[in-house]
Amino acid sequence: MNAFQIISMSPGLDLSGLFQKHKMKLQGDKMGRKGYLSLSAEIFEVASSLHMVELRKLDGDTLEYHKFEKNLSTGLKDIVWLTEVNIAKSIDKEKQQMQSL
Amino acid sequence: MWQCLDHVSLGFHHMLDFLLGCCQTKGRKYSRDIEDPETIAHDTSFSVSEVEALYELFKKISSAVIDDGLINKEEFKLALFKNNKKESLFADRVFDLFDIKHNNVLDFGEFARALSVFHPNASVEDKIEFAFQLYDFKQQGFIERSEVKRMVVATLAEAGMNLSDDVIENIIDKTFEEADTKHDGKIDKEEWRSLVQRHPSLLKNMTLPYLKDITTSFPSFVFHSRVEDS
Repeated sequence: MNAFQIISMSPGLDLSGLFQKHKMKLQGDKMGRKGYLSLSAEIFEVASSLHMVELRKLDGDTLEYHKFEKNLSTGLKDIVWLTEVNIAKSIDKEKQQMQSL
Repeated sequence: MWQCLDHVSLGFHHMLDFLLGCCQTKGRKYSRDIEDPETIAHDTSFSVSEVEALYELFKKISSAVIDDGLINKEEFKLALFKNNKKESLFADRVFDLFDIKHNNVLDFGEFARALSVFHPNASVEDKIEFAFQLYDFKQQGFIERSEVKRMVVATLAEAGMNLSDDVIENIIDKTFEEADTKHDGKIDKEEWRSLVQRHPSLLKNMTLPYLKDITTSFPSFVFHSRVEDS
């Protein structure tokens, strides 16, 4: 093993952290079906009054994760514009409308 | 997919006024000596829109502790580690290298020019040069054995790893055996270049793929186009 290979692995030399703004890791406090649910949330500021949140499951049961996502968007429904599910649904709806023309 | 704002064509300086007024950023004070993005694009591997997107990131980082349009070391570490208390030999060295004017703050020009080296399209030669300067702590024009040892020890400490001094000495011996072709106990730029050519992965941390997607991660709602005078 080369000394410089070791050095290049230092987190202090990894500038990718500069771009991971507002990234959080969240973990459930209760043991689920496949261990603790953990997810990452990355927040992007699209405009000062519009933010996009990207959620990704890191660990745990997928069904539990989907349930969490649903609860979250229901809870935030007054301030959430769109979620992936809504977008997919509205695309389907448009397709159907076009087919019926 | 963002339909929230109309596309507006404005000059760069007008963009600041637009953002300040339209998005109500509470009258933030900006360092008004911001270089024209075209100049920065010309001097770097960035396109003009990438420079504008980079400026969005710069604004975020530079306003975290003191809102003065400049990044100080604390803000730099905060952005890097999400923790401004972390001591890092390397982060300090990187900051010093970015700080061309040696005034302990990074203005946007310094920030953009330094990051340009990390762009996937930047020349390998620039990356080799930057890495060499990074490791040449004492700025003597060569990398000394003691500097290498210091860096290895620091890296291992950051990783919470403990290797015996013998093992570390062994690793450094082998590294110098391979790299120090002139057998003078130092690695000069030429020797460094040969080493990197044999082991390209040594430059891995000199490229940030994120820089290619910066316009999507940090959208700036201005299309850079000339407003024609009628």
